[in-house]
Amino acid sequence: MSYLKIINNIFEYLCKFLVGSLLALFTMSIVAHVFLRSVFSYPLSWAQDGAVMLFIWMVFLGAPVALRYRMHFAIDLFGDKVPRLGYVLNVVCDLLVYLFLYVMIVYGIDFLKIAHSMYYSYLYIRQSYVVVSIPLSGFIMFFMNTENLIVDLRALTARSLLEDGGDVL
Amino acid sequence: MNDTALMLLLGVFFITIFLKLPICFALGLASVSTMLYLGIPLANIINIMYASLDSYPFLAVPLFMLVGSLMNGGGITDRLMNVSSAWVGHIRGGLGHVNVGGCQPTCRFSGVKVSRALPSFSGLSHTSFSSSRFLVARPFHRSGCFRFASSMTSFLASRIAADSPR
Repeated sequence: MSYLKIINNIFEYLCKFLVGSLLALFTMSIVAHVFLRSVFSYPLSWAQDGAVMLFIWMVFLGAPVALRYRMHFAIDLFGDKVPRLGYVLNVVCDLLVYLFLYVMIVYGIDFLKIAHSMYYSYLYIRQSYVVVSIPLSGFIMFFMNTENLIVDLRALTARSLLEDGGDVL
Repeated sequence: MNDTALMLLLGVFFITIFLKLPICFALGLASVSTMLYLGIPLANIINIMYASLDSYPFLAVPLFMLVGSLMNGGGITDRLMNVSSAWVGHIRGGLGHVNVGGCQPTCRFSGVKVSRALPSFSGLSHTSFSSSRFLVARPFHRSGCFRFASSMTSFLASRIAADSPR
């Protein structure tokens, strides 16, 4: 198993564990908020902010796992009809994803500096503690995407070897 | 926004979509290219990403998906589909009818009017293809066309339920 795969397995485990924990916390805070608001007419203002913070962390930690398993929605126009083109497009898409990841990481860190001076109204926590999830997610996705790219490149070269009559193994 | 920027936005979006790039990244790249063209600082894109998620009503989305998966795991959606299939499945165009019928109960017990589409998307349309007992023996669940049709009928069902009097 390559080092990249080991790193990605660790990232995936951490992301899944954190997203699961955050979902549980998030659900509990929402249930408490709604219950207290509707039954006792005593809304928990902090739960509103807290739930939004947990939600944003959940979204950006879940995205790398989805990227690794290619679970993001995409439209497959060609299907299996043009297999060679499919392999090439996979590689092109992986390279295009890097462009957006660059924006997420570099400009995410830029925005982090701005968000450091802003606060949540009820919890009075710096917004940068939530915004940091965006560059972090981009960083993890960078590793996940590199693994995908290597897999796609291997599939592409194996395919061309097969078509040229070469031996893959 | 001038015409070139609009063309760039739509052009990059559709080209990257056709290249099989995931839609989230296609939207992102289209926005990035347009912002670069218009000279808008790219940190704004992160600001918009963050600000669009930073809304309380948006929290309903993961909760609806959670409810959908709980209903799938608990078997409620299977039973809803079976009931709906027994009632209206025999009529011509059964797929749509069963979807509409199956969505009615979920639309009824969700309180928010605008969010009625979500349980049908997350729960029922998934179950209708994972079990797909009411469909004939052909492997319909592999067909993207039928998956799309199911989602659309679920969405229509939610709209019908939203507009119908209580």
